[in-house]
Amino acid sequence: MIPSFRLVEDIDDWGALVELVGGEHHGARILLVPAARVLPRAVSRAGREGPYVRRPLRLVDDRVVTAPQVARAEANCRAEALLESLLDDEQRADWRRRRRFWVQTPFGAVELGRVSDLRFDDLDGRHLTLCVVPVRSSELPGADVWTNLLLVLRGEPRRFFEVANYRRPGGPWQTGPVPLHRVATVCG
Amino acid sequence: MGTMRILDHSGDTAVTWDLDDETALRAAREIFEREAAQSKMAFSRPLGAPVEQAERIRSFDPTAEEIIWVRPIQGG
Repeated sequence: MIPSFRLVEDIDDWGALVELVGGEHHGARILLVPAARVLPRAVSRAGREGPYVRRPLRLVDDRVVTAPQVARAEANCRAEALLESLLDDEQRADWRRRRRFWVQTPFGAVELGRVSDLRFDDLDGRHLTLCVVPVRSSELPGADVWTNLLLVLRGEPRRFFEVANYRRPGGPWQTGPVPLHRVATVCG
Repeated sequence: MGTMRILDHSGDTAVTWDLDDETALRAAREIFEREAAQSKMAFSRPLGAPVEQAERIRSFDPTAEEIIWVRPIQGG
């Protein structure tokens, strides 16, 4: 019997990390409750025009998670926070809404957010699909992959297009470098 | 105080130093050189600043507020 729990972290679209207070569940003190098992966070108005009041989370069920799972959830949180700190308001809103965002480069715009499916619109209006990943990317939380590529696009954009595999719409994949026809000029 | 963040399986590992702490400073410098030797790329930014304010750096800057290490990239 678990007397109560304390919310450690409420992760949007992921679930809730809760700490059991005054007990354990199969030896675990921290549980991850997947989003699908957290009842929808109903909100209620205190008054017709009053502020929304967030009700406490109610757990439908709990699931014992192993230490690696908790560590992975924490890693995801750190990675998400780091990525979001690097984004501007528009990119951040885009990322939260559809898990993708656009990055402007001297060669055109690249959309990050989906592995093996990075859209590139060059300065002449041509569209390519690119595939670039950090070395040993499977070791990284997903958001770290985009932090990695975002910073490379910021500091070493030419390198990004040199190593990228690419394909034209409907065409086969080709190895880099990506053919770049024009580079934006910086005025002022 | 400066912070170095190295992307890894935990999200990132943070290393901090103070300018007046010679031991921490030396350790941070050694870690910087170790990461650089792995062909990783370092970016410096004011703490928490957006990517537009991030700059590629190739040597350890003790006055940097935040350094982020990313991995080399390859075609997928």
